[in-house]
Amino acid sequence: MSKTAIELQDVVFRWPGAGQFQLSVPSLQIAAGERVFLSGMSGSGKSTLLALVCGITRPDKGTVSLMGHDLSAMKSRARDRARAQNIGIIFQSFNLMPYATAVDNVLLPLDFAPDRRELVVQRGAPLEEAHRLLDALKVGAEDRDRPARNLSVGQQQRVAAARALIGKPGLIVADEPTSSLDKDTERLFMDLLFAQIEEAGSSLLFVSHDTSLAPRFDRSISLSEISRSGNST
Amino acid sequence: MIRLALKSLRARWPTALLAILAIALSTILFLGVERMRSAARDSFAGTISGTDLIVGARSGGIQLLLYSVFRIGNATNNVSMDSISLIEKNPNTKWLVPLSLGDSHRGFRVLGTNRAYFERYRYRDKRELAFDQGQEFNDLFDAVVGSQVAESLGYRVGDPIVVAHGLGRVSFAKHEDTPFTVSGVLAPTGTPVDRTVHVSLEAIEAIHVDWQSGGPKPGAATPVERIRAMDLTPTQVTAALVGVKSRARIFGLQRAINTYDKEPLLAILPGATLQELWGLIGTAERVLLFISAMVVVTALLGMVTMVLATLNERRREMAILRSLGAGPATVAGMLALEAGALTLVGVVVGTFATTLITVSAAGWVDANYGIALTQFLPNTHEILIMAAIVLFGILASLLPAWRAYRLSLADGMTVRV
Repeated sequence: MSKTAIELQDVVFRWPGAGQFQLSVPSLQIAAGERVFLSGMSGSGKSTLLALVCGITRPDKGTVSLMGHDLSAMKSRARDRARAQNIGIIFQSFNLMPYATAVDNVLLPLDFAPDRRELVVQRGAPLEEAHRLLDALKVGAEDRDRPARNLSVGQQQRVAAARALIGKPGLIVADEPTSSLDKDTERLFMDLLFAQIEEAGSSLLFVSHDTSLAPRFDRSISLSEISRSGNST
Repeated sequence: MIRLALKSLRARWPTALLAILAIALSTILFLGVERMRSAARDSFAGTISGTDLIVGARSGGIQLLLYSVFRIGNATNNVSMDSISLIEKNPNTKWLVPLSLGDSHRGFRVLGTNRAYFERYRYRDKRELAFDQGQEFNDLFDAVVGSQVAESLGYRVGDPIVVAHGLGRVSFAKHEDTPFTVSGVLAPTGTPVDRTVHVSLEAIEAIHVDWQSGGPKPGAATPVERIRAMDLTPTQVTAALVGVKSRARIFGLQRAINTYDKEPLLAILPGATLQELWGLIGTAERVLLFISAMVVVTALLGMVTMVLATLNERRREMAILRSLGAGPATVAGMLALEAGALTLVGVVVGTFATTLITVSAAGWVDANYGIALTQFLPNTHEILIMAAIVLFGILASLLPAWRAYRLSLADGMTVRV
C-alpha cells in the first residue's frame, strides 16, 4: 500500500454553472493510517473538497490521488470503482437504506467493491464479518435484522460506520457524522469508530465544525488554511 | 443489486401493487378484446357453412344474409314458388331448401322450411344440426325449437305452443286455434338456429288461413279439421338455401339467378357477404382494439408516473448508492429494472388471469352469445403483443431512469433537497 492515502496538488475546481464559486487547494496530503480532522465554516467548500476526494467530480486543474491512483486522470466509471474500492463514507444523517436491515446495509458496499468482498471472504463469511462489526460498534444482535428505519439515530450512525469499515477500505471519510447526536452518543460513536479504524488500519478524514473533537486526531487542519475559495475574479 | 431493487420495491408495495394491478387489468382487457374479437369472427363466419348460394327477392346482399341467416330485419319481398322450382330444376342445383320467415312465437322467430333443412343446414366447419330430444316435424302442426327457445320457454317434446303472426314479443293476434306441438328440440349450435322455431312451409300457410291483407278475417276462425283438408301448398317463400353440384358452377348459377327476367331475384355467396358484413362491423372492432391499446398505454403511464413520483424521496437512496461506488448509470438502470419488472409482472399476471377467465367463462359465453372461446393459451400473436407491452414499459421507464441519471450526476453524494 502506498504511503499517502490522499494527495491533492494544485487543484482548482469550479462547479459547472454554479455562479462564480471556486475552490483551489495548492497542496493537501493525508498519509496512510493518519487521522485528520478537517474543520471549516459552512460554505467554505467542504462538500466540494469531499466530492473531489471521493471522485464524484474531477478538478478543472491539478491532480487528486487516492491510494496512489490519479483520480483526476480517470473516467467517471473508473472513479466510481476507485471510490467503491478505497473509501468508506459516513454522512451526517440518512446513511442507510431505510427498508433494508442493519446487516444488509453493512453488506451493501461489497456489491460494488469486489476486492473488499474478496478480503472479507478470505476471513470467513461476509455475514459473520458484518455481525462482528455490528457487535464491535455495539449494535445489539436483536437489532441486526431490524429495518434501518426502526433503529435510533445513534444506532443508525454506528451501522453506517460498520458499513464504511467493512472490507477495510484505505480511507474512511466522515462528513459531520456526529452532528445529529447528543454528547454521550457522540462520545460512544467516536470511541467505537476510532477503535475500529485502528484495527482496520484505515486513514480517516473527519469533517466537522465542532473543533472540540479535534484533539483526538493526529492532525487538525482548517480548510481556510489549505485552500482559497470564494468568488474568483 | 437486484435484491436491493426488489427490497426497495417491497418497501413501497402499495403503490407497486397498484401499478401492477393496472397493468394486469389492461393486459386482461387487451387480450380479452383480442380473443373475443377472433372468437366472434370465427363464430360469425361459422354461422352458415356448406351452403353455396342464398336466394331471395332482389335487395341488398347484406340484407338478404341478415334476414335469411341471422333472423335480423325483414324481407322486402317474397320469391314466388315458380322461380324456386325453376332454380331447383336447374341442372347445376344439387339441393334447395326454401325458407319462409315473418312470424314469431313469443319473441322468437318462426321459420317455415322443409325437412331437408335439418339435413342441409351446416354451421362451423360443416357441423350438422342434432336433436337433443324428439325429431323433425312430421305432422302439419309439429314444431322443432332451437335450444335457447326450449330453455327460456321451458319447452319439452309434446308441449303445445301457439304461433303468432307478425313479429314482436307480445302479439295481439295469436292464432289460438292453430296450436302446434313441439316435436323436437335441437342441440345448441351457437347460431341463430338456437333462437328459432322451425315449422313446415305448409304450417306457415295454415297459420295464415284466417288472415287477409295483414289483418284477421272477420268471422269465426276456421276449425283445425278444415285447415287440414285444405290445399296448403305455398305459393311463395322468403328465401332459399342452395347447394350446387360442383363448386365450379356456383358463379354460373348465381349469374343465371341474378339475371332471371321473370322476377327480380338475388343470389349471394354467403362467405363473401359475411366478409362484407364483417368489414362493416370490423370498424367497431378496430375501435375497441384501439381503446384497449390506449388503456394499456394509460396503465404504463401510470406506472411511469409512480416511479417518477417516488424519485424525489429516493434521491437520498440514490446518493447512498453513489457514495458506495455505484455509477449514475447503475442508479438509472435500477429504476429501469424496477419499471421493467413491474410491467413484466403485470403482463404475466394479466395473461394468467385472462386464461383463467376464458377457461371459466367459455361455456357461459358460448351458451349466451354463441361465441366459442376455444383459445386458452396465448398464441404467437398475443405473445408478440405481450412482448410489445413489456418493451414499451421498459421504454417508458427510460424517462424516470434518465431523470435519476441527471439527478444523481447533479447531487453526487449530497442531496440538496
